[in-house]
Amino acid sequence: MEEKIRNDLKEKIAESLLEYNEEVTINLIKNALKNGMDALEIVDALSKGLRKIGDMFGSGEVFLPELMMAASIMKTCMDILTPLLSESKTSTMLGRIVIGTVKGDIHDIGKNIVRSLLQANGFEVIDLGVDVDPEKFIEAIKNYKPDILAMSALLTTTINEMHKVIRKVEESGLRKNVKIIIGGAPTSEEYAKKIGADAWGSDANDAVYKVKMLLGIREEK
Amino acid sequence: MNGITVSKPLRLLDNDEMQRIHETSIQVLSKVGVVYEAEWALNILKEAGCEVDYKKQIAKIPEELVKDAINKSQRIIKLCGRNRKYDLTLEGTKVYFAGGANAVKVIEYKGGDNFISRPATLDDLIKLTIITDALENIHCYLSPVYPQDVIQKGVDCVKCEIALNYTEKHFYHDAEGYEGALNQIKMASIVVGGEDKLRKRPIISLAPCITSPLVWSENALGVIKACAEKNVPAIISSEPILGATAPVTMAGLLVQQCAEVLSGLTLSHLINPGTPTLICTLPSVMDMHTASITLGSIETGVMCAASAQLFREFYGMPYVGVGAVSDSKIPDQQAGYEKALTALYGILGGVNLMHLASGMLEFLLGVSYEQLIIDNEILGMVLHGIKKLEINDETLAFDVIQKVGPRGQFLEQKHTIKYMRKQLYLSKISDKQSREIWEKKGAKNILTRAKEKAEEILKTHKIEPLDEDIKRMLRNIREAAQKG
Repeated sequence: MEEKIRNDLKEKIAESLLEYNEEVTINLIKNALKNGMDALEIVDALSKGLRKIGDMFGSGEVFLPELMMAASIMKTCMDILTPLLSESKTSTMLGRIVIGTVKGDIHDIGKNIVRSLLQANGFEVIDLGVDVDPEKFIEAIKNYKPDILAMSALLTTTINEMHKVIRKVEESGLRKNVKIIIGGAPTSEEYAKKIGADAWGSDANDAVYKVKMLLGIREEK
Repeated sequence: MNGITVSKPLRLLDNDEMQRIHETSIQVLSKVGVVYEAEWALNILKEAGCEVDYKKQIAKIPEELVKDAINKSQRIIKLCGRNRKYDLTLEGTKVYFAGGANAVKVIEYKGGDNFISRPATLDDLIKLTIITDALENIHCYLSPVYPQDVIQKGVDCVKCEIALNYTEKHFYHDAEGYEGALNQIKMASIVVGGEDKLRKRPIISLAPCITSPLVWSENALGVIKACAEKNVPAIISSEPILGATAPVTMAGLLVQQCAEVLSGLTLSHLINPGTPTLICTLPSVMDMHTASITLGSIETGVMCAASAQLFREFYGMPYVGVGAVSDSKIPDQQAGYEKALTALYGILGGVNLMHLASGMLEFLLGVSYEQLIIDNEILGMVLHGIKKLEINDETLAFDVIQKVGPRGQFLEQKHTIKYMRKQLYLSKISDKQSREIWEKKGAKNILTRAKEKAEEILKTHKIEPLDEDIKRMLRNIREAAQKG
């Protein structure tokens, strides 16, 4: 493909996320693949688009549902693209994060917002969903080798689950491999310290900020 | 600009109650009469069939004359802006907001709990005009400041010149008698390219105001005359004070203000049948303890809502009322609740143009930059709150409820993205974030945020400048008026 046509197509893919229409974006990437574009280049274009939406969210032009929709489209695209990427090439992401809402808690709005914002900021996020068993967190750390483990809870009755998970991570000898961040309405900075987490996110934006701090990533200006 | 239509306006009066108010005001006009402090006006009224006492300057107006004037009044009034996107159509239950007027002092916020009150200046007038031009929920402009640092003679022309230079919205002004009105009409016609064009696109309207109870001053009559002769919209106004310059009963005030505005309307249509006229009342309340005149009282809202109904339903005319007003000396909680309540009450009643609705404090004596920004938010919430609920298959949302199902959530639905901007009021300066983030961003109170917003507007807002030739002609008229 010619340089110019390729750049135009990449631009189009990035911009298409702003239409919040999964079909449009998927058709574009399928078309790009058919025309011989490298999967990694497409991932780059999508990441650029999502980062732009993240910036617009920060400045108040884009709202949560739009950000979450764009992140969800990105995820669907990644399901198509990941098998086409060779192992070494996936490392363009800023870091890998395993996220989930703890056992007994089925609230996923806050967790999904954090997931979307992390994706919009260039992180690879593995979402374990809601009501996640402590064992499942341990398994995921073993399988995916994430840089960060992120846990969410909304109910005051379930926050002790976070403490349980951290103890299990320690018992399994995995604690040194992973940083842990927690968040959710009943949590606090003090609670995070008390149970031995590395950071606490007061809201979704703060969670992204803390994750970057934990990984030593400087805020771009 | 599209006004918002109140779909189910408040009805505070029954049909027979409106009839009784009307009949009593006709009795006031025909039996008590109204003072017109100008011989030319009395001559016109006598000629038309009024019983005139020249010594007392009183004309008693028969019912037929009043009915005739009501019939000649236009049902729909168009007020244009220098920029067409700001054109307003006053009709039915469509509602708009107009800014504050003629504050003599500025209440300046100095951080923390500190405020100072100082004389309002020409510089304040320019700045507040620019900010008002930028605020999306203020559809029509009044001069927010009566500048204290210029020669007081011809100050109406000073304000007119500022309005023409610094806002593209319609402006609604008071005038210093016949000459002052003619000067302002001339200035506006220069900007639109002649008197004919001004007739088609009136970018100015003038407000002759009766002195309650029942006295038309020579100055106010001059403004009625100038407007009628030049076909410029006259906003015929009455400003009765409950218990002081009007009866203490709200029904009695409605009777008197009706008689007052109809007496002005009658003269307007005798001078020029069919000339554009609007009715405006500003009912305030005498505080029976302190003798202060107050506007932030709930009665102001009630009387404006009742007046809007009366003029819309009984007389078939658009009505200009008042709201978002306060007696508080500083932009505090009292200012917040008085403004919100008086704005919402009047607008729910269908006040077509609610004036003095921004920035004003301390009855109408003071203006605050911060309050102006806060009021824009209050007005935005009011306008959003009166929109008709949209009921159709898509808004009833069965499909999306089915799709999401039990335990799901709606944030990530296309339906949410499609409707959120339309259905939700997106606040501008209200704080909606978590305490932690609010603290991280400096724990700013509303006044600090409003002050920053006002400063940002002054830095960034642009107004289409007038041609240099036009500016010079306006300056010449203003200078002549100041010397005159």
